[in-house]
Amino acid sequence: MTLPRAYEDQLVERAKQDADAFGELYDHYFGQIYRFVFSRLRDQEAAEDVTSEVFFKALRAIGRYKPSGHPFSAWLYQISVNAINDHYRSRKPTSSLDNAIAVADPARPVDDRVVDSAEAARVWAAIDDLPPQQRAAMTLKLGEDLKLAQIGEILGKSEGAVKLLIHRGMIGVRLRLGVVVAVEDQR
Amino acid sequence: MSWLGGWFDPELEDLFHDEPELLETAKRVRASRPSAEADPRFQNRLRAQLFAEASRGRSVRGVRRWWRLGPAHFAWGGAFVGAALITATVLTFVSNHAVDQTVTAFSQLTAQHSVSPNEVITVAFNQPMNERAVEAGVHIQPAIKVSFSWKSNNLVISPAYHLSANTPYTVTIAQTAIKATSGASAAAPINITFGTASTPPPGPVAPPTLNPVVVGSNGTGGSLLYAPDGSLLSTVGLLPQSATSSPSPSVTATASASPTSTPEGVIPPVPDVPGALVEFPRSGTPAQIIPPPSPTAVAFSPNGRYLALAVDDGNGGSRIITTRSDGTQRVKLTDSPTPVTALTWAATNDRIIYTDGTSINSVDLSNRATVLYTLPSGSGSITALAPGGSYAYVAPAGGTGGALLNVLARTDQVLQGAVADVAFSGDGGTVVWVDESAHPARLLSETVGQTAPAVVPMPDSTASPSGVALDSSGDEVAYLSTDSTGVADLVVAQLPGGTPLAIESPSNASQLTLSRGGDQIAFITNSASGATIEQATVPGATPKAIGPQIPAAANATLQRFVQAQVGQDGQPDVVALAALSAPGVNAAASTPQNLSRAYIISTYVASQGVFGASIELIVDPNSGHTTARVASETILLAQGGTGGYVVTSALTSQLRDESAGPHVVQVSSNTVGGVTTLQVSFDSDIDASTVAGAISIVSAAGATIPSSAVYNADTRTATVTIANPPSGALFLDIATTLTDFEGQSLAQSFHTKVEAGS
Repeated sequence: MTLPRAYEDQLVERAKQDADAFGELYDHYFGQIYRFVFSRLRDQEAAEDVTSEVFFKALRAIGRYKPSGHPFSAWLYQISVNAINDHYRSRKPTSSLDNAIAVADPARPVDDRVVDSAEAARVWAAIDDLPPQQRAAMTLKLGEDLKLAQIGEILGKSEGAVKLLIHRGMIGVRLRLGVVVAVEDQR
Repeated sequence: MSWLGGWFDPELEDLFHDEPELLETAKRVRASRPSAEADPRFQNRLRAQLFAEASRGRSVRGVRRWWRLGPAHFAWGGAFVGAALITATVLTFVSNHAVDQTVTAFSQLTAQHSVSPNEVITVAFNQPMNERAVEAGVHIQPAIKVSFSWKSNNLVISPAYHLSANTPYTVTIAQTAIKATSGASAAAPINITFGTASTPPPGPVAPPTLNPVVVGSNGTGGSLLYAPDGSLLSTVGLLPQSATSSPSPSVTATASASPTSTPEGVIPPVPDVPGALVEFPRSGTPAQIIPPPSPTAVAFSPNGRYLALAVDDGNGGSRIITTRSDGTQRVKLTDSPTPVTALTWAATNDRIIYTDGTSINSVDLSNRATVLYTLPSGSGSITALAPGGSYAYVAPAGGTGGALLNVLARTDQVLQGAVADVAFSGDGGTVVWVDESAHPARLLSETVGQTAPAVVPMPDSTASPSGVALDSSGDEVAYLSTDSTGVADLVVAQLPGGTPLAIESPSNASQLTLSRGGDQIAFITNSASGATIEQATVPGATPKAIGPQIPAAANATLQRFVQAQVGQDGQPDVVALAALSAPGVNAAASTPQNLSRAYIISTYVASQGVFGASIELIVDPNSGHTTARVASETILLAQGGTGGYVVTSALTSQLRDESAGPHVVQVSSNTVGGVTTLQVSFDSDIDASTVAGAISIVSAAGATIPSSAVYNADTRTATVTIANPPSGALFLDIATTLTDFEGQSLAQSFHTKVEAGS
């Protein structure tokens, strides 16, 4: 879902002077960025807040943007990762029935959706608890289905380093989920 | 749990090839990810907001490129996240077109009440519009000249000058003009209502520098002060050899002198005769007002006619004397056995309040002396008196705990932090100080008597302030800003916002002093060759009407009273209204609800000791009532029992819809050198050719007084000059033949009393 690189480079260059060009970039990448942000926050209001911040920051900084061989989306994801981290410093995500409705098939019974919600909340809470780099790599891979190379571009890491982050992240999630189960079993 | 059976990621399959339990966890995580489809309304709103932000810098002046957003814009962006989206209005219209069934329009200004006057108005549509048709349907009230531009589907309306400050606006686009290129049309007109902030349009991004000129030489120590006529005085001024004369017969010198600009580093010819209190007039040579010894404290009376001085009596104490403002008719009032460190006049012009650091005393013009307050032993020292003498600053023996003392009530209020450099405004209504407990030190200000200090932002947040001075009304502050390397800038800034009006880098500056109106600043620079007095005009500061018609203390009460009427969130501050009103005046009952703003149209002398003000109280338009509503109010002020001014009468009309056409929003007067100047401000762009013919000045006897009027389109102000005003009251009449640029007549004929001064 990336634009042809040459066209995108031209578009970004025009966007430094032309609101229409920035609008085209916005139209193209809004969905991706919102989805990524929402997958990390799982709260519509917070996702809208952070998505707004991402695009305002992009608008503010696009004059300084220099193509580096990476897709423009990598830059937007970088801004998003930082904005999400800023958001997390002051606010933790919550799970509610509203969230449950958002994460699953609306055709299924509400009770099942609440169970799904609880599971989703627990799994993603475990991701939330990971160190920031692991958290970002896991989200970009499992939330956005990005290639390892793309994640490396966004995080400024080699592909091998991204593999390591995801591997450690996955172990960390298992540990966290296992600890939770063990504590519950003892009760 | 729902599993995504068909999901396959070869990279993860490869990564976890030997660890199936991790691959299983990956699938579990992947399956749990939330679906996320954005609300299309949010997507559209954000797009419109980004366009609005992008367009914001594209004002007619073209100062900024749109993407270069300063901190304020970024802050706005953050605020937008929390608030602007909530308050924004999306206007939806049902169309009869099969393809685009709705036309959606959005403006970032809707329902806001403190929009920057430098803002542009953006209307974002959700589809391509017939641009010429839409532009033709735009009507703005009050009428201002604008230009139109389009960015994609967004109409950008740029004022030719700027929006008027503190003004309610309604932007209407006629229903018949809302036509999309697809043929879609609207079922209702677009009404965008908002109000502007009271601050004037900010100046250029980089504050201008001052261009100080040398006005004379100074001795050691001493202090500077401004006379009511704008002349500058020093208590240790030095006179040129040729100018030595004592005392000066008049404050108006006749010889001319050309001040020398400091950039060239030229100092005036060796002036080395000590002159004690020396006047450095706007033009002419310095003149000695009072011969040596130099006074230890000096102050002009509120009416500007007299001086009070404390001079060394030769026996370890001070002698309190008064003179006329030119130094003549010297009269001794009393002797103080201890040295007087500060003095001021009571607002009544008939009493001097002074302090020796441990007690506060007063003496009236009949030589009656009174001890007003004595500081308990060991509890610090009194280092400053607020003009008027109602308050004093008591410095602690050390550390924090400095307090404002209410002299009459004998109560005190601790100022925040480790207090240094306390300064009062000329009307005694505002106090500023440096809090040295912060790192770096910070500048705080508050209204005297209210415990609500506010930090004054500085251009260099890493620098420390010092040497603070205020103008008469507390609207302007000057201070030295010293950075970590020890380099000091002289900053003149607006209060309370801290917006810099000018920044200068003089060498070794001290004793900053602002003129009453804040349009001039003086300071001392020290070098190896001696101390020099320099003076500069403050860019962007217009001389305020501090005439004899209304005392500063009455004006301070007036401002606070009106501020309390507007209150917060549509509710008046009833406690403050009661405190500012005389017994029997129930201002809270007559104040309309939901006020957005107020104009003090004019002030005048109602009778001996009683001052009047004409005010308009405004309720901004909104989506339910697209016309601003206004109530007219007349209030009277007189001195209350405690010596300060209170509102003795408040007559307020019912709210009514504001009439179409231009309105007068302020009239101020100033008399200098026998010439009275009126500044008449409007809320609309006026047809300049109609101004002079519509304005007339009439005496109390009904005679027309010759005057001239010039209109400044940039400030929407007419300057009326009366060369030889008769003494006493005059009346300003503005006929409805005055029109805005669209040909709309003045909303109603205007008539007010003005004072020509003496």
